[in-house]
Amino acid sequence: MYWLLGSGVVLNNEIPYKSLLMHGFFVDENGEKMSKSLGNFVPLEEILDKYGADTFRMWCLSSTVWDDLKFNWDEIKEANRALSILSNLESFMQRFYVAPEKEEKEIGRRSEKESDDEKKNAGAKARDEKETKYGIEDLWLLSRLNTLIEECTRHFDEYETHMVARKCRQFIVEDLSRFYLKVAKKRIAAGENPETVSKVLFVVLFDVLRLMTPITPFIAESFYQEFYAKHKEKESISLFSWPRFEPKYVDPLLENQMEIVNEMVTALSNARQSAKIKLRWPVEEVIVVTKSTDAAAAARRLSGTIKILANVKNVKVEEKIASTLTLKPVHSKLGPVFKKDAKKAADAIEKADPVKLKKELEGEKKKAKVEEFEITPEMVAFDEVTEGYAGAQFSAGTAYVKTAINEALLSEAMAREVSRRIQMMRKEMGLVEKDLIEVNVSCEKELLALIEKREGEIASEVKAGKLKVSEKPMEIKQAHEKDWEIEEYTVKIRIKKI
Amino acid sequence: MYDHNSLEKKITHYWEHKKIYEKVKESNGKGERFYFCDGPPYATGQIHPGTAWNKCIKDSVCRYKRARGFNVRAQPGFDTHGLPIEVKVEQELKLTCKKDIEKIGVKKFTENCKTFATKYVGIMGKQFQRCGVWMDWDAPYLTYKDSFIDRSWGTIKKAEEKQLLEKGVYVLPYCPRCETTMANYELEYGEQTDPSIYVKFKVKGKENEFLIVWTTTPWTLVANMAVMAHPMYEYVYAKVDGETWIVAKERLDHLTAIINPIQGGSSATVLKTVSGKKLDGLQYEHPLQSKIGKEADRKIVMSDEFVTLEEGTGLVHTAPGHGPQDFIIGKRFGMEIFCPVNEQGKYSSEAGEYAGKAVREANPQVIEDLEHAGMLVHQGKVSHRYPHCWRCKTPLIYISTLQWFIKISKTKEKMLQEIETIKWQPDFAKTRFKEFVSSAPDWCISRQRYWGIPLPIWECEKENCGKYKVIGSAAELPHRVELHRPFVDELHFTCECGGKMSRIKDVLDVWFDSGNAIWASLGEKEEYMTANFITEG
Ligand SMILES: [Zn+2]
Ligand SMILES: [Zn+2]
Repeated sequence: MYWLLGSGVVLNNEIPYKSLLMHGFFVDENGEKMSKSLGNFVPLEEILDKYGADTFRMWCLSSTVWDDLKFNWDEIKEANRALSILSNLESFMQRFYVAPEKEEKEIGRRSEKESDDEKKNAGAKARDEKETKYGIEDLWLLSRLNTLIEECTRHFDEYETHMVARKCRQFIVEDLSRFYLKVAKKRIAAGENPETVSKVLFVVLFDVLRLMTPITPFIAESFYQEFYAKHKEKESISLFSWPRFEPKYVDPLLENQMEIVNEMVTALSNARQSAKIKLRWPVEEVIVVTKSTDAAAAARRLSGTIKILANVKNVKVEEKIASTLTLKPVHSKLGPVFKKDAKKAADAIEKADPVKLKKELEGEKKKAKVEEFEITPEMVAFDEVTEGYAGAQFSAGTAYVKTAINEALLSEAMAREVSRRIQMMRKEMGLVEKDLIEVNVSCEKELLALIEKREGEIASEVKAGKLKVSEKPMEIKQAHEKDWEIEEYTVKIRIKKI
Repeated sequence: MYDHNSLEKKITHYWEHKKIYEKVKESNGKGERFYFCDGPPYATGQIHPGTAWNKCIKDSVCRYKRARGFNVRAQPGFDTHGLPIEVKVEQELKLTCKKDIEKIGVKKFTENCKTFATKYVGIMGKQFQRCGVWMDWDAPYLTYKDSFIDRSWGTIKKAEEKQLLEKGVYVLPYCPRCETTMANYELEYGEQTDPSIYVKFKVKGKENEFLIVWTTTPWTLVANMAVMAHPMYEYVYAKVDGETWIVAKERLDHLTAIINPIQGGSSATVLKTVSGKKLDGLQYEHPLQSKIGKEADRKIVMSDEFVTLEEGTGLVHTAPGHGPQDFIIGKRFGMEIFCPVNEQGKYSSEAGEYAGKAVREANPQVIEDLEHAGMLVHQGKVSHRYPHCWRCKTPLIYISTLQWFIKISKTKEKMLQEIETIKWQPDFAKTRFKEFVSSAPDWCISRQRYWGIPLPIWECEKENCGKYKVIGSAAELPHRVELHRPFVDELHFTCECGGKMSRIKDVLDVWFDSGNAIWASLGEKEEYMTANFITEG
């Protein structure tokens, strides 16, 4: 670039380029120059053979352009994982997407810029918008998508290619896969407006592919060819223009609220873990305790999302919750001070009144006398305990799950467990969505009592034309058979395609 | 993990089969022009993952611009000239020096260079395409093409017209194996062990008085013309072993410790202390006068920028023909730029008894001669960073040679102004670049090699004429030939004086090639235009 400038000024009295992007050096893991003579060289071919060009591109283009790029196999694997998720999304669409009978073209062309169709499209779009019953998660995803389009456009205009790569990647891994798809699958299973899920994913993924074409051109094209080509008229994803940013979809409040809710859901999952309640078991109630009005509003507005993601029936929001203070001696702090008397000190602390002791330790002296022992704050751990609930903190409060499992919910949970096994077996048998099956589930009495009355539910969940739950295994000719462990029960399942 | 192998193969095939790249270009044909200029990689072998990274960044921007409707000009380039390729071809043909090249013939050599570069153009192109890089792979620009050379010559002509082209003697790094000058940006520093010696220079007219100097390049002592002292430092006359030594006061302890480490240093008695200024003009005798023969008025000169107290003795051996700093001082004080070294890196006949010896290999003999003359105070070893040839790794030497320059010093101000007019990403690139430009010396563009853009300069051979002619395009040649050595060397002009004009045998610095890429890569029908975007490391 120096020589270009020098020659340009000599020849034409001007700098011969309008923008310059500087990039860093490609170095090995230790920051050393990578070369054959130094013995730290990794040939490009090796990377391409192992993970492919898209992965190489996703990896190197995610690195801040002007910083040195340190070679790292783990990071390359990580980039590959993100693309595998995209590839899974394609198979999901293949299996799940049902084209609406007539509007498909119109939605497909949602943000193309062909001006001829523009007016016609606008009309169809408006009609379509009105008719679509968006769930809150759908609105959120469309908001996130448009935020992403705006960001990627800005970053590309500024030549910050790494920001584009990172944001697309984050969108696929976090927003689409970890969040939306999870909710979507439950909504589809529950029959809650699956057409909208289908429509939204169709639109969102198409835009994502266009955003990703400059970063990972092969997989974007492949997704287009394998899935979109039959719904759209162009020969290549690269023949479409850049997705258009539509500000009306952007809802920053909703995006913020969803972020807080995500934190709550993580806290709830931690709380479940501490109480040893599996995520698959439905819980009757959670209580979000927060003094923040924003967090409270988020939990109220998005209680439906919390219900789906945290697998609960009811979400309550409170400013505070009745709780008891409990305490525990911290043995590691007692040992060094009290030596052989540490055990005695611990016993003494356990017998102390938590409320009184806490007050004393938080007092001016920052210490308290328990029996003959002088106790300092770090020797005692206090905890707020709410009877019947397990809690875990998030940034703006604490989220509690009710620990008692009620019979109805448990029976529902068990039925779900059984369904899950049957679904796995369907997969093993290579069955597709529309194939019907005949099923027999046999198990001991206790479990039988829990799932017997849910035969119908299970049958519709797993697409069984015939389903029987019994204590003794029933004969089905040429059945696929398997024994499963569900909690402490052994269950035998027999399936045949009909 | 998904099956990337079959996926990418399938898509590559699809793109080729359906001519998708061409269709995308076509659909944007009427769009606003976006000229991306590819900084060309060297066509010397398989691509480095870093080069692939560079190309993928470029590709992602071009793909984005296409999606935004721009008519993107994305022609890939290859750097096909220069030492990187010459050195590889020398290895292939088992040649070790320029004499070997002349023996097989310049024509055969440059033909081989061309074949070599062309071979990798294809291989590298395939590798870039495997990375998904969408550029005009069927029409890359190659710096060795006549059209490229032709357009580059225009820049030299323009420099001549603007009086920015100049011939001059400069002290520059020089590779004795490749037998060519190097620019500072072509040096590679590596750790190397060299002699570290302390030498006595006898003060003229004083029986027992000596300047003590230090050097790690004993061979340059042959061309010693002066000693530098700092006007503000204090120097001492010290009695050591019955002699009087002159050194910087702060370096005396260091010196005595070195020459007699066992006794914790020779005892030195300070006789008097003077300021450096007082030493100005003090004459001394060359310690190897009888061997070298070269007569000169050798004396102490003042320099406040090149004398330090961090190492040595505070008195600095100065050979204006063998060091850039020495050169500056030599010019300043009107010394002869004495350089008794020829193009092969051997002492010339001006070096007296040393004539014919390769200079770095003469170090032991110089030391031995100094010892015999009783002028060696101490010899040891030093491990330091030393510049090497970027291609063949030979340790470089500094010699003064006659070279062609573009006077960057005269265009610098304009260059700095121009820097302000464009977009830099990131911001600090601009700051860094401005610093680089501010401190850049004049650009030495001539190289004494074979495979490169021939310097379009013809000089009159008649003695004392001194005229030369610069041409700005191939059309000005007496007739058309391939624009390479040796073909252009065979063309001559007639001087106004009637003398025969022959081309200067030099080729251009290979960085000049990429420096001209923005216009030299354009097709015949394309007008000059500035590039919208470039990216480089
Ligand atoms: Zn060399
Ligand atoms: Zn003449």
